[in-house]
Amino acid sequence: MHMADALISPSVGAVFYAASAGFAVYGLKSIKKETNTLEYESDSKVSLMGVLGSFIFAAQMLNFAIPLTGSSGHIGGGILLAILLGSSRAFLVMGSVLLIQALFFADGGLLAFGCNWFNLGVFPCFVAYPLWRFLARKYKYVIATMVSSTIGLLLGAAAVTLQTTASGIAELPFVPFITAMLSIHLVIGLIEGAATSAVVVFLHKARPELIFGEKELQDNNKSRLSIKKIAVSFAVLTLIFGGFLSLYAASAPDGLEWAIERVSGKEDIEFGLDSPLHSAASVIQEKTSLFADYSLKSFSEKLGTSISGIVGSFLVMILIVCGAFLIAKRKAY
Amino acid sequence: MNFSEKISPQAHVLTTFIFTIIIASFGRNDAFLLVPYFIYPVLILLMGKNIVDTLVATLKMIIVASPFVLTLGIFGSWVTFYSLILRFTLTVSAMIILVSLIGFSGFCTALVKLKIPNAMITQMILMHRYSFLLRDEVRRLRCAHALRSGGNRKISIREFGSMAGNLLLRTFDRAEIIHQAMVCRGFNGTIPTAHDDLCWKAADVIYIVGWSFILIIPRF
Repeated sequence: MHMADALISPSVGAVFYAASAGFAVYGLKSIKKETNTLEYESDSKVSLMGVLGSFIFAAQMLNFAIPLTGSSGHIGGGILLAILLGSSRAFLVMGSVLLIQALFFADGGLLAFGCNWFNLGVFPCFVAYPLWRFLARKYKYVIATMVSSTIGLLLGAAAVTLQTTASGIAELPFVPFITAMLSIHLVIGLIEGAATSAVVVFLHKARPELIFGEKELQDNNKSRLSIKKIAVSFAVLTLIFGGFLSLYAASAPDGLEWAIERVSGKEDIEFGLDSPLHSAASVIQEKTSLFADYSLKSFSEKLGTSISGIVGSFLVMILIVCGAFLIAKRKAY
Repeated sequence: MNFSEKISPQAHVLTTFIFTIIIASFGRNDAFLLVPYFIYPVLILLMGKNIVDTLVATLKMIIVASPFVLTLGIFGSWVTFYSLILRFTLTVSAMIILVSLIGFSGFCTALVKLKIPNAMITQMILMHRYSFLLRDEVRRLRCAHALRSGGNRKISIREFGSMAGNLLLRTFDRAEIIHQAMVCRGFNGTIPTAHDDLCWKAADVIYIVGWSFILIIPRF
């Protein structure tokens, strides 16, 4: 899911460099605050951060078999690092992991580094991890990890699509691109989430003190994170993704529509089927489909599109949560 | 001392960064305007020592990393496709050749000179060092799994949990030992990378300005 230099324009690269740098400064400041000193030397976590960075590389060499398929998967790094180190340190470690991946494996690039750090660092560490902490108080670790790591990955995949489209280098239309990216990454996210939760559960059994802020997690009354804040921020995110972006998306045709338009030169194909059965079927379909062409009936077109987008986003979130519960039930832990 | 050693690593990094920005500034239909830019990767390749090895490694890397860009490229006109491939080849080859020219330590020195916070650089150096150790650890784990599972090399997700978890526990213990050893040897929060003779020189400035001038000409 790494962005390449070839896909982005300098302005998009610069914007995300600035955004990631902002988070990095925030991260460094909060580490200094945490250690209560301006000197880095007293921080025993320096070596831990370094070694955990290389752990992410090493663990990605350990491929496991995905049931029912011939392929194999590996662990997702950002959320696991955040669970072990907290948001700020995990974000810095992700930065070094991504830079080394770019330099030695050509996964990413010098200009795209800001985008990659944002997609694979900010979302898992500053969005998915707070969600994990919230969920871990109420549910089992396996559910919290599955849900939060999937959502982190999906947000990253959506950001890749937006960055590519905003750069205007690739000619891929926005809607089929984001649909393909999100559906592929939903599957990848669930698999990575399962692997990550397997590690977190093992760790919780073997050495619970290694999980960052474990004591605080067990003590529900001392919760520092406000549930309201998290709920509001996720509602806002869903509104942005579902409501605002769907307006932009709706103006471009979807993959099939786009292909039809190119082949036939018309927006809709007239099939010339006038049989009574066909017309009756189309009447039924028109009356029953809730989101015909992603718009609610009896609303103005834009409002309808936005509402469809929001409802769709919530449906995806519910689907992820249900998937996590199903998988969690099947496991012994 | 050959030519590339007279130029500081930070000048090389900055020039490659400028090169990447200029390549990225071309539009999707500018395939043929990109061809002259191969002069930069070719010249920095010739500045290095192991020209053949570097070239082979770069080509391998381009092929391995290209699927995502290729997939996006096929949804468009031929000009866009060529343009994407050229952009990808140019930016990736420049970056890989840069690293083989100045080395990882050179890259870290450059970051120090470019005022990147020390915490980030220390993190990168430690990570780079220990990734080799942990790689061996993973090989041993996989070997142990293969021996005990009767040659069945596929790891199930449940086994993966305890294997990666065990690796993680060993990693934590290792981190503790490493930190003790570092403190014993007088670790003061930064790992020394930059030498005094690697500060900015007039030659660096001339090198950067010269390349910027050459690279900007085809834009007009």
